[in-house]
Amino acid sequence: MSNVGARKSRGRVTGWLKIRGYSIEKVMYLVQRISGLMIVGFLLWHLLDTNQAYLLITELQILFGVIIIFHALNGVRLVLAEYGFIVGKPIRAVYPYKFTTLRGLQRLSVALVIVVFIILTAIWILNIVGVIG
Amino acid sequence: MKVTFKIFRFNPAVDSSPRWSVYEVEVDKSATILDALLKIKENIDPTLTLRYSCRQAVCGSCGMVINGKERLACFTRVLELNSNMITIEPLKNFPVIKDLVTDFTELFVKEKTIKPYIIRRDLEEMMKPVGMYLQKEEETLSYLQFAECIECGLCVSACPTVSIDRLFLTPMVLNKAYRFSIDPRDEGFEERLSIIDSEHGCWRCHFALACSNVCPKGIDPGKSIQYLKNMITSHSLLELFLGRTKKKKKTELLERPHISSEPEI
Repeated sequence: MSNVGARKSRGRVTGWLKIRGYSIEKVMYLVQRISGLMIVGFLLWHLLDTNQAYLLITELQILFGVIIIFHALNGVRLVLAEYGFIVGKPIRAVYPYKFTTLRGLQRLSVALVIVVFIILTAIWILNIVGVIG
Repeated sequence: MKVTFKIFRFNPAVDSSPRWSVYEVEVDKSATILDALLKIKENIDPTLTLRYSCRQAVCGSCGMVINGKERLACFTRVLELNSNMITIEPLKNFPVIKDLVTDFTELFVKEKTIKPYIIRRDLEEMMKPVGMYLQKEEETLSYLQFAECIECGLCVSACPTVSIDRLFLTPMVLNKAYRFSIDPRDEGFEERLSIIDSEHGCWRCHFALACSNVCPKGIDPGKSIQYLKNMITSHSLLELFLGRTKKKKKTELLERPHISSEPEI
């Protein structure tokens, strides 16, 4: 085969971290992955040690709340996108090219996720600190 | 204008690890990256290896990572990068043959598995045609955007899933699978299903849209893959609950009496 001696250049997990030059969806993807891994990590830890009353350490509680809020909100957006509901209709590929996945309803959903995330996070933190609720 | 090029160099016959070469080139306003690379090859360093052919973003040979992002060298002007220092690497997720030339064998093997052609069951009509399949505009539009792929491999290099799963079908191949499955003339969706609906198939796409970000032909693979998921889901749901598969709207056969049923040899 022609690739004898050729150098493999698979980026491994660095492929996730490359966000410069790409659009905001790539950042959302990265955060979704990391928050997902953290939730799995937390679950494993929770299975090993079910008595986590000490988790009331406020900082940890705030952190996991924030992670779960983002993961859930972005997850809803991804379900809608991955079944083709918000990615736009097929169009003619005429120069200058328009990408319906990078504009319109899909981009709006990204903005919506970020706004709702900020509002819910604010409520969550204020609630824990005791300002409201 | 003088621009510095930092280029990835690797010759498996000589080098044990890659190295970087730096060249200073005088470029004019309209020069593309490919022009600059050819200038380097002709005037400074003839050992620099790259692959190119059409010079007009049609053949898809000159894909490379330019300043950290996948682009076609012939479709990118030096000045549009707005930088005095330009880094050029071969495409990621491909084995490097030499310098900027990568090996697409694996990708084309994957492409073959999804049967990238129109499959029909009416052998009789195929052998002895009696008419033509005239498509309406909306039928053509359902796949036209995804049919423009030039197989340059930029989306494969950008995809974060390909970088962790070498068996993942890649955005290019999944786009191709959708393009043929949605085609009103095609009847081969079920034949492709076992490959695209597998562990390394379309469900490993997590909608990072890196592919759509780099596509030089406006194809939007991020869109076709999501539609492919939709297609598979509705197919499976119908089969599960109603025990039947969705009847695909087929392009009408317009009979043309002047087409001879016995092909002349």
